[in-house]
Amino acid sequence: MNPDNNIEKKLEDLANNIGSDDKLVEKVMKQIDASDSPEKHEPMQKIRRIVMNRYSKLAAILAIFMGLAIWSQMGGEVIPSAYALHDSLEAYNSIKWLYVKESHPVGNQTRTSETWLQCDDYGNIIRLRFQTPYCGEPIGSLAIAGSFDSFDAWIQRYNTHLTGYGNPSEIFGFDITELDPKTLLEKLIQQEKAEQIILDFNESTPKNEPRIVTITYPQGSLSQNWKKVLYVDRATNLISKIEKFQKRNDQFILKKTHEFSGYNDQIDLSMFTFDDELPDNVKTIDMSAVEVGLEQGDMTDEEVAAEIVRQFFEAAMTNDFERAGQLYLAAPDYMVKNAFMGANILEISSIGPAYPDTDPDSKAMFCPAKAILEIGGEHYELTANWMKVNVAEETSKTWVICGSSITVKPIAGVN
Amino acid sequence: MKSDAELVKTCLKGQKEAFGQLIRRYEKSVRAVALRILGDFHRSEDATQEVFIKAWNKLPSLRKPALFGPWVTKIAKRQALDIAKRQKSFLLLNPELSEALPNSDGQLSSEKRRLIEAVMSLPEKQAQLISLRYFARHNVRDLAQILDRSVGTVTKQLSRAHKRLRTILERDRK
Repeated sequence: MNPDNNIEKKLEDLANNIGSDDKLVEKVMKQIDASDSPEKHEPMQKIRRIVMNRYSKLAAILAIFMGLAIWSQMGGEVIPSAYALHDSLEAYNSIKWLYVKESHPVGNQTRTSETWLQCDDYGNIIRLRFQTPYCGEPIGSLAIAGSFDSFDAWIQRYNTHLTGYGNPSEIFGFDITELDPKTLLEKLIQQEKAEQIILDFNESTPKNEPRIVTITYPQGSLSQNWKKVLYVDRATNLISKIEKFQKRNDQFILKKTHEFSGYNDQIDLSMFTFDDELPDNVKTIDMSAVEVGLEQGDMTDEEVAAEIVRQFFEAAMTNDFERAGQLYLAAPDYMVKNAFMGANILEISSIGPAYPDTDPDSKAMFCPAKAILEIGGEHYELTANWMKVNVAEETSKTWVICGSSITVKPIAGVN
Repeated sequence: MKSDAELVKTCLKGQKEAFGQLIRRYEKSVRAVALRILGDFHRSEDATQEVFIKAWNKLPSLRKPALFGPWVTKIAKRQALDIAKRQKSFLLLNPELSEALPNSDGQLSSEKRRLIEAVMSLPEKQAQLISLRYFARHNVRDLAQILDRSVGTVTKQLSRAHKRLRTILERDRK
């Protein structure tokens, strides 16, 4: 038998064995119809459905909000206040393209990143590209292109291209509300309703300057030492800048700035893929079948954060860099191995206790750890001031380590 | 015969009938992926349904409509892995165990699972071609229309895919 015929026959047999369901189309259509709400005329992403639900819930709240916000007392003078957060929210419904520049100080330096976003007809993100020239060790520069269900990441230092299925913001541990003003506004309106934030509208800035909305957090809440300032363009109601501050020694220190521009300036769609950008010899790793992180199971957030950090160091201790990488951002083994630069972990001195991140946009946990290292016959103490642990997959509550602050110093009297 | 890209664009205009055509076109490919991972006809049937509902909901995020086939296959892979994870599928973790399971009771034989695995390990476009040709039973002329390529190109690509499949299967046997 011709080999081609042989393989064809095998495939035909296989197709006969797989079977089919005559009513599959009918069943799927029934479910699609059942999930379609009256205002949905097109297939929608989950996130968009949430937004629509929020709209209906918001209707009643906004009616009250509008009633209360018609007049506000400012500086002893009664002036009309035409602006409320929902005005900005509505403005974002027509935004399809957006550019975001982020900067945050690290020591004496400023780290920056850029993000390009494409939104659908409802103003929700459908594609993004994020890139930063340096996001810390061991990765260096990082670029991510993706949608809400798939991503490509390009790590130039390692000539590595990661491709996978999943929400890139969850996998790479950044909060999309920091990049997408619309998602942020929805969150703020919900938080305001639940009295989790205190809003202050400053309309007294000069007419040619943005109005200022200050968000603080109630005393006793986790984020009580944080403050956000939104700069809102008076003509468009779109946000031009957000500054985030943290209080240290009674002073608010600027932690992060996001500047939003390029509203509805169409972005070339090639920006959202790495087609033609990657070198021919790039190493592509399909992450879709890689086991990532640690499932929470019955553990508390504190317990799972400490456990994943413990497992990470234990894996590194036995040179199981593949497992260590699965726990740390799902990084390939050679990146993790390189990060340890030939150091051997001799002993894990301490782990934890883990504690929640107070940043209002974060759901992460921090876990400190200490270990004894041996490098070239000399002993060092590794101190992880914190390992940041985040939920990478909501359904199964799978956590990954998505960052760390580590120092290494010689142990006095040992070497 | 409409191409995948045309059908996706029609779906995005709200015409669900076009999605029915895509379901019929890729049902067996999706089932094959689910079967390989779950090893069980019943669970793969449920998974197939869930995959297409998910695909409908996520259709606006599909970056290249012409790649609907590879895209829905990826969703299937992820969905099946999630189901396997949720149900603590030992078949996935212990392939030796799955070999021992009887194939008369809702299970696919190990040889057929290896064949599916080989198809899925082909480059995306070749896997799509094989799926459409054998699972959806399209002739070469239809394939050319669906994939917006010439009949000659499709014939050559099919031949290359067959060759590659044979190499993979032979390598696995060794």
